[in-house]
Amino acid sequence: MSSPPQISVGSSSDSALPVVSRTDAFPVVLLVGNPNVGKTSLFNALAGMRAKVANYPGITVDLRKASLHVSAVDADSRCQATQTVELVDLPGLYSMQTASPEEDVAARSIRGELTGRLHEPPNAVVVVVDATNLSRTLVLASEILELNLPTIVAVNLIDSAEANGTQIDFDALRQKLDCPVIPVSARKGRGLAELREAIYELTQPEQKPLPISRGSCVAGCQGCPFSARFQWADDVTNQSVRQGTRGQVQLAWLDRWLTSPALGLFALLAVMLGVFFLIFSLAGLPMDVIESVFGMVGEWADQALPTDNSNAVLYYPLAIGGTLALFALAYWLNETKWNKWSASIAVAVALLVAVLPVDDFRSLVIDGVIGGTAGVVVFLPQICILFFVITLLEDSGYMARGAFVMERVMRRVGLPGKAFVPMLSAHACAIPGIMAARTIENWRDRLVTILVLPLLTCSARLPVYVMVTALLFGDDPMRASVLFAAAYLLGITAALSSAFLLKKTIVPGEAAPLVLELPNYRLPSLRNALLTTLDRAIVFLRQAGTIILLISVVLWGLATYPKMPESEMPADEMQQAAAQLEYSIAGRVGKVIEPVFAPLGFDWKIDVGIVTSFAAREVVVSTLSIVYGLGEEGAEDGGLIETLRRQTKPDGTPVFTTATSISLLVFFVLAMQCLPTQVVTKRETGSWKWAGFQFGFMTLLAYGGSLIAYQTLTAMGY
Amino acid sequence: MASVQTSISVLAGARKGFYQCVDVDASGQNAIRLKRLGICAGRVLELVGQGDPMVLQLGNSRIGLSRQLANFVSIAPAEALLPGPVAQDALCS
Ligand SMILES: Nc1nc2c(ncn2[C@@H]2O[C@H](COP(=O)(O)OP(=O)(O)OP(=O)(O)O)[C@@H](O)[C@H]2O)c(=O)[nH]1
Ligand SMILES: [Mg+2]
Repeated sequence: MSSPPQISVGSSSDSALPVVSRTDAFPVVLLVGNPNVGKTSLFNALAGMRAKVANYPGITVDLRKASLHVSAVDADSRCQATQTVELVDLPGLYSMQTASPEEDVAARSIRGELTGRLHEPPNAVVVVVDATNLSRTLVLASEILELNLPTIVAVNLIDSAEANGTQIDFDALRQKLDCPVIPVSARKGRGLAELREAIYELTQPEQKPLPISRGSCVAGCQGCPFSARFQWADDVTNQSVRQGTRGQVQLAWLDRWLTSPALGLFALLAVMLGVFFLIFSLAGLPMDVIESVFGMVGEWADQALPTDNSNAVLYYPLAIGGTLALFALAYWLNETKWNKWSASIAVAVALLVAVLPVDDFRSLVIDGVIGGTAGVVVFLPQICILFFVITLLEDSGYMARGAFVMERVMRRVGLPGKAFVPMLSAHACAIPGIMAARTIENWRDRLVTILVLPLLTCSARLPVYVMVTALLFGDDPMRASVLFAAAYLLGITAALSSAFLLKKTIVPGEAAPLVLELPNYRLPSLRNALLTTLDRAIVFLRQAGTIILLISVVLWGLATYPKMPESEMPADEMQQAAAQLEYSIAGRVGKVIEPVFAPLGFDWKIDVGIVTSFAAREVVVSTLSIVYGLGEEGAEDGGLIETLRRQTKPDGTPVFTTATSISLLVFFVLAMQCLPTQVVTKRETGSWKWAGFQFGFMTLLAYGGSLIAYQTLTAMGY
Repeated sequence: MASVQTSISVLAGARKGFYQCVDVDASGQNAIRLKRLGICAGRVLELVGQGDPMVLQLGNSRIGLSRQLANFVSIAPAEALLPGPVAQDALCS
């Protein structure tokens, strides 16, 4: 088994890196605290929308950072001194003794052991603690305080502590902790000015603080150091907090239900069904809107693009400028810097585009760029809705109960209960699912979860499901929906059984047993959910705008070249596109691999669809529509289904028999046909090895599954 | 260390109620994961939901704990051990 992606610290490759001294840069301020105390909320409240997800070198974890202006509070705002600091939102951690890669990153950032900007200890640390659970969250604070860094303790969630009737004596707390203590509410925006001022005070360059030396609560203690810290935190809390109990007890009965073995599972099932119902009932309209907008853009491009390049003065600047603009947009989205290489690539492609025949240029823009992007962006509503609901559920504290009740079920196949949240996300898109797997502490468990996640039905599979169900049971919604549900179930079953097989083979061992904090129920924040959803949408569009655009253009090239000579073109216009496709690289590959897929009941035309959907599975529908001679538009109206039904083999029997259709469905449920997911798997596991393995085992699974389905069904006479 | 105590038992088999944690016999990551959430020698915990996983209440926080980990945790009834030798040993003055 392999080890987690290395966070390189002090390795030989590091010393080769130029070490930027931070003296001339902005002071770095870290937001530190237990998970779920509101660090990210506080970060958003302080930084507003200026937050930017940064990928620090050598780290696989995204640390959010933002430039923040802090100032001394002064009556006269004109002569107010200000200072810019770099605020970094760290992953939550329970202790400086870490148990997960993310905690490790957080702990190392605090100690200044990372490369780049975080190679030396921060200029200041804001320890965020939870006012409603001070005794627990102060434990980490005691560890941080002992590091003797300039420290501020921000007591967050003060609003809900007050709502409970809890009273906190901040002067006593300041005295005990020996550092500035500031009550804040990230949600209500309270105390932010005071916090800014405290940050300003601590980051003044001329005020180099004397070496701080705070007493250690574990000094001279022989027992368990954790126990001593807990005791210290209890003592501090007892001396400064009068605990209120308002609004706490009412939910105990709810928790008893939601964590009980039978009812809890039942509730979880209901919640999941509710989520899916929301996705399907609400996403339809915006998806239609997106489709028609892209349709309009395509039509507009069709009209606006020149049909001949005789007007060279206009045509060449247009083609070159347009391509360069597109590159600029993609680079900007992808945060690629303009340098010698990226600029040469952009210029070379722009020149290449300019010398393309005019018809090809038009087709590149309309089919490749616009069509390719549309095919992906159309899933945005489903993804947004899913994340909105998941964030609300996470905020409310329910998700931890979900993981709790799933623990017993998931353990059987070697997955931790916590894998349930990534698995839910993966039903929109595997990529955010894989990212959500970061909440799983244990590396083995996280790896298994990542490997099986892409088997769950993501929204890109839906067009294929829709096509096949319409093909088989177009006139019978009842049976169509049963087939649809069966496809989902097949994905879930495949994921769970693959996890089991992995446990028995290459990723041996049991899932790390559960020990999980069940946070108090909280009223979820709409603002937080909207911000998270926006974040996810941007990440997704960034993918669509870059990698997927690239894939679409490459596929377009494979399906367009080489050109069929005019003399061989069939007269019928409908047939021309199909003939050209057959002549192209994609078509030839389809023919070559026909024998491979013949046992699954696929002919070479379906194979072309399999080939083109290698990098993005949803492409298969438009490809099939081209191969079967409908042109691009055919896919939209019901034409495709009718055409597919009419297709016959050379011997006169239909191509899309029940057996072939089901086999195609099974293949798309199980196959790994998504290049962006592979890229993310590589990033999160730290090696192409696991991405390659994922591709291999899913392809085998898909082939085997389809083979069994096809052969069984044909034997039964379907 | 606390072998003289007859009332010491394992958390995995306990009924609902208040207990004091006497010892955590886990090693490596499991030990850290338990202790940093407050399941460590000398701490008082309440078992509020039996089963696998079980639900514990530690001060203000609720913790879900699998039986497998609960097997590492030895406990004594809360009253019996306060103030006992173990508690003294684990606390700081
Ligand atoms: N009532 C109230 N809720 C808050 C406040 N700040 C944060 N929350 C809620 O606390 C929960 C956790 O907030 P996050 O900002 O995600 O916490 P975090 O510390 O970043 O958590 P991790 O990233 O998991 O470590 C969310 O449900 C927030 O809506 C606050 O001041 N008042
Ligand atoms: Mg956070």
